[in-house]
Parts: sequence; C-alpha cells; structure tokens
Amino acid sequence: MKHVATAVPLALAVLMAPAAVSAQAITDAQIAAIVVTANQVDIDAGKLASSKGSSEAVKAFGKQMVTDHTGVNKQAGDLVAKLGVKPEDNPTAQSIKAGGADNVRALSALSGAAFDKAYVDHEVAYHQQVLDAIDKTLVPGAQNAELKALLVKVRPAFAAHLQHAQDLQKTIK
Amino acid sequence: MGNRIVRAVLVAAAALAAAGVVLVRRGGLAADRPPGAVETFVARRLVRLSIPAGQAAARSPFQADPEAWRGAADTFRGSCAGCHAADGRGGSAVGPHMYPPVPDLADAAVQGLSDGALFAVIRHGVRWTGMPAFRSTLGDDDTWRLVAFVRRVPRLTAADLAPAAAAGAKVVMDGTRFAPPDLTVALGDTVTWLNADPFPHNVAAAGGTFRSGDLEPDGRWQFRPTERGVFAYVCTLHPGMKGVLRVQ
Repeated sequence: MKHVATAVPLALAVLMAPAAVSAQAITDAQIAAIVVTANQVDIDAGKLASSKGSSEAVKAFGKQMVTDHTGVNKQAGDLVAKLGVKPEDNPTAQSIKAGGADNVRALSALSGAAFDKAYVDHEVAYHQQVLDAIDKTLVPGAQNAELKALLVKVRPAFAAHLQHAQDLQKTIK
Repeated sequence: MGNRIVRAVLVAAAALAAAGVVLVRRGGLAADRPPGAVETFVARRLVRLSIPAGQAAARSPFQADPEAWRGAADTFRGSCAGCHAADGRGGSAVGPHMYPPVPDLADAAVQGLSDGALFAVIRHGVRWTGMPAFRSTLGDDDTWRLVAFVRRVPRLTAADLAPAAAAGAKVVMDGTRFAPPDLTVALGDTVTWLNADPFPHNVAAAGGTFRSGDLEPDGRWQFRPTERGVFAYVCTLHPGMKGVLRVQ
C-alpha cells in the first residue's frame, strides 16, 4: 500500500493548492508557471515509467506522457514568449513541484508490478487534480484570451490521459 | 512586274473581303453556329504561327516530374474549369456555347502543341477567343504546372480529380478531437487527417481497415477508401477520441 501513501499527499497538494490562489487573484504569469510545472512533473514521472515500468503498457503510457506533456509545454512556452509573460513562481506551482518530486522519490524505491501500480495510481490522481485545477482555477482565472484558449484546447488531452490511466489501472489490479 | 503582283494582291484581298462580307451577311457574327472547317483550320494555324519559335521551343522545368500536374489541380479548378470544365474536356456550362467553342484539351489539336506553345497560350491568351492572358496572375512555375495538367487531361481519372472533393474531405485533429467527428465522402475521395495538436495522434479504424502511424504535430495522413461502408475509428493514444468515416 506504499503507492497509495505516496499518491495521496500529491493528490492533496494539487487539490488544495489551487485554493491558495483564488480565481480572482491569479495572474496569467502565475498560470503560466503552474502550467509549465504541472506538465514538467508528469514528464519527469513519465520518463521514470518509460524506463522502470514493468509492463509494456505502462512503459508506453509513460513515454506518451513525456511526449504529450512536452508538446503542451512547448506550445505553452511559445505562447508565453509571444505574449511577453514571464512565468511567476507561486505557492500552487511550488506545491505541484514538491508533490512531483515526492512522487518520483517514492517511485524510485519501487520496482516491478508495485512500481506500475504506484505510477498508474498516481497518474489517475494527478490528472484528476489537473483537470480540476483547469476547470476551477486556471480557465476562469486566465485573463489573456489566447492563454485561456490554450487551456481549453489541451483539456481534452488531460481527460484522455485520465481515462487511459484508469483503463490501465483496471488491468493491473 | 511589280505592278502585277500588287494588283494580284489587291484583287485577292478584295475577293477575301467580299467573301468575308458575304459570310458575315449570311451567318452574322452569332456565336451559336459551329465554325466551319476552313475557319477552324485557319484559326488553328494562326494560333500556331502567332507563337514565336523561341517560346514554342521553351522546355518545362517539370519535364522530369510526372506528378507536377497535381500542383496545378487547384489552379485549374479555380481559374480554368469555369470554361474548360473540371476534366478539361470543354463540357462546362459555358464552354460549348462560346465562339469558338472551348476546345477539348485532350484533342490532338491541343495536345499537338509543344509545351512551350501551351505555356505561351496560357500566359498571353488567344485573341478573338475567350482565352484570357494569365500573365499577371500566374508565375512561371504555376504556368508550367498548368501545362503539365493539360498534358494529363487525356488520362485524367475521376480519382485524379478527387482533390476537388478531398479539399473538403479533411479531418482536423484539434483539442484531442476529430473535427468533424462524422464525415461522409464518396468512394474515390481522398481523406486527409491533419494534426493541429502539439502532441501526436493517430487514426485507427475499428476493424483495422485503415491505420495511420503516429502523426507528429502538423503531420498529415491521407487515405483513399476502396470500399463503401461506415468506419468507426479512434486515436489509440487518446481513449475517447473517436470519429466516423462514411464512404458512399
């Protein structure tokens, strides 16, 4: 049950964190930092899974997370540069980053089926929380129309990732 | 001696003018009479003669490229098909009713012209016909591609002309969705999937009828169905990203 112990704190961190910055107060610069950080932690976890994963399905999923989130981050980075927005660190981004680091640390200690299960459980929790943050904090808070449009555009990919992770979860129970 | 020639020329000119007047009086200048054989012959000779030898001998830069005509398909559809018809055979709404009637581009009279002559006709137009000059709207390369298209006309198939439909038969993968999610095409149409997302997608039919590889951002994949039916497909990378292709 170690994996649950690692998944829950991050899930809580991501769940609680957006509340720390209210929708009204959040700036585009802060949203940019949150988007980049949220993608980065899943890239880091995906890299680990693509090499340490036990089943081919988990490895492939990890690899896809690296590809998809890298793509989203590149587009976000391009937009932020175009808008002249400088990502601004904030408590939400920091807690996502800390949660991601905890997850990678916990996963590093696992191997085999235990690793797969912990990784996939975390992916389910992570994507649920990111979707929640997009809906409740990031999209409502985004000032710039293009930034808002980008968040709306990538949301279905996160939903697909969640479903994919949930499908995987069923196969490795 | 000189006087006699001048007189002969004058007589011939007067006879021609008289013949012209008689012809015009009898038939008028109406466009709804088919041109006579003599007129057609003379007119075609004149078109040939009017093209300077240097232009007629010009070589197409696309001679070695058998697919060059494809690059002119859109131009032909947009600028030429109105008179020449989409297949270049002249059967458009106005083509047969013009004077002279719009020629069938597959006809020997057209195909017998050199590439350079066709280029000159497209570039400069032909006086006393409906053929306009495209000099100001088409560059050298596009004009040469049109020449290649004219050369292709005798062998054009319905599938070759399919891009007309294919231009609309496009599915954009955007926001992890297929747009439109439900597309109907005719058998022989080419369908293009274009990935507008910042990460890869693919196209995989449920029964395995068709399957693309993973398409990178901005990547595209084309498929021309060979059977009718309703094909459900997905992106295997993103569960829930579904589309339907109906081939009629």
